[in-house]
Amino acid sequence: MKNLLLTFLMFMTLNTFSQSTTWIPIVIEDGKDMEYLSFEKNWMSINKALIDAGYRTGWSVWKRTPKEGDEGWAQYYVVVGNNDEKQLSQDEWAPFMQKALGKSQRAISKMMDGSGIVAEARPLQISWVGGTIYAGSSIKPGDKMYFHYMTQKNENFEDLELNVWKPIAEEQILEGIRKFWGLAKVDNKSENFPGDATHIAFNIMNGDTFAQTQNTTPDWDYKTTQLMGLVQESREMLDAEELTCIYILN
Amino acid sequence: MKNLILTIILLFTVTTNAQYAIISAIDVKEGSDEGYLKLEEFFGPIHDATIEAGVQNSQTVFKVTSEGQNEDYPDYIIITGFSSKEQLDAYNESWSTDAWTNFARRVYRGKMSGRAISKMMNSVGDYSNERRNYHVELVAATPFIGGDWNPGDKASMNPMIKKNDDFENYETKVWMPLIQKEVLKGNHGGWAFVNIYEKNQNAYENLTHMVFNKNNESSYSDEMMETIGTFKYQKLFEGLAESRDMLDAIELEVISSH
Repeated sequence: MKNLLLTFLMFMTLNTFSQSTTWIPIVIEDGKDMEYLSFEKNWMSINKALIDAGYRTGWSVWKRTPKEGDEGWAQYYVVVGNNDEKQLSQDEWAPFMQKALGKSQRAISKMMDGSGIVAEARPLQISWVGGTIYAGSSIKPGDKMYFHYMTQKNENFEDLELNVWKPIAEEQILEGIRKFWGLAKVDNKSENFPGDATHIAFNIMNGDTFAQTQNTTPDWDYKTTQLMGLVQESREMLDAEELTCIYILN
Repeated sequence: MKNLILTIILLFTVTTNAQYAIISAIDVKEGSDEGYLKLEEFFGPIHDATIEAGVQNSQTVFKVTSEGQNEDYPDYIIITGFSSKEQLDAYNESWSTDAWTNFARRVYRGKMSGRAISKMMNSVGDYSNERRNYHVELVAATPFIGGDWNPGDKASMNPMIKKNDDFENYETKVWMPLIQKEVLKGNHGGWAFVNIYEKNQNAYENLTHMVFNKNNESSYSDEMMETIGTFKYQKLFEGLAESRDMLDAIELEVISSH
């Protein structure tokens, strides 16, 4: 299982140390996209220093593709890989940043200040249940990722995903359609996170093939069709949300 | 041993659309490593620009790290990837024009003098005794895992000489399904099998194919070990071994990748 996680999490987190991942949906103030991107660029410097020092294992920012009529969705998603074995205490934070960035505390506070830009952050702590290998070239700004919020309905859910769906995703990797599929469990939610998601599934495709896989009727044999029926019954799954990578460090 | 000089293989995988490649085995002059690496460093931004312009898809430089290396081994392997034979041929042609000098001038405008650029461009070949080029076409490959090639990544390649008509089938229908399962489990970084369809005059004449492996620190699964220990697979591997001569693996480490 470790291998499976270590591959994808190259951008989510990763490496040999113990880790957890924080998934942060961000709602921004109206019309503040440019300011938000500048704000995250500041955070990129901060995260680079944290990654270089081994406190974090990865960091990325993604923009959600809006859908007609949807409301209340976060416009951006930040993914932070934490090294759970090496964390900065509150007291250590300021001197570390001043030294790493060569800036005054006041300048750093200004860099980190999202007031008037970020309306709401809705962080989730997630842990990886399992997934495929990550195949192909590394994720770069402009690349797409798709996620589904899921709510577990019965105790077979995770096993069905790993034993029925995962082999299908692996076959798509061999066909060159897919780069990655992974399932994460929500361990903790902020109080302002809407909905009752218990899991998140992530899909990274090879090129523009996601719509193709969604719109094509699968040519499954009888057994697979029956088992996929059990997969569907084991959870509620929201529609896929498309994200575009804006910044990434790993 | 000469075959080892000719070394090999591709990175069809990192760029999944690379179906063709030029594999260059570089024999660097005694004491010229530093100068050669500086030249490769100079070419880095030029490679980025030519990739963006579609002249090539990818370019990776590997240092040969095989233990017990002798003077017949190449010192470096360069693999240049292409989507098509036409693109590869056009790339070859581009070296007989001013195209690369023009790319260099554009990339280094305001950063280096024209004279310094010309000096670097004219030094191509100064640090090497010999460059052996192989033009190869992808026969089959597993996915490659772990994202882009990065400096320090490990790989290996085996030059091969086909001995009978069953050879490609043994590689693709017997070995590949086994190694593919290991790749999907994260136990192997990736495997590719290429056919040499053209080579320059000083290249090893009999070499017909090469395999390329991206290495990682994992071990093969128990399932794999049990499978290859069965009577059926032992017989299949005897057939595979008889279908080609496989030369010693050449161990590689990535120096740069574009």
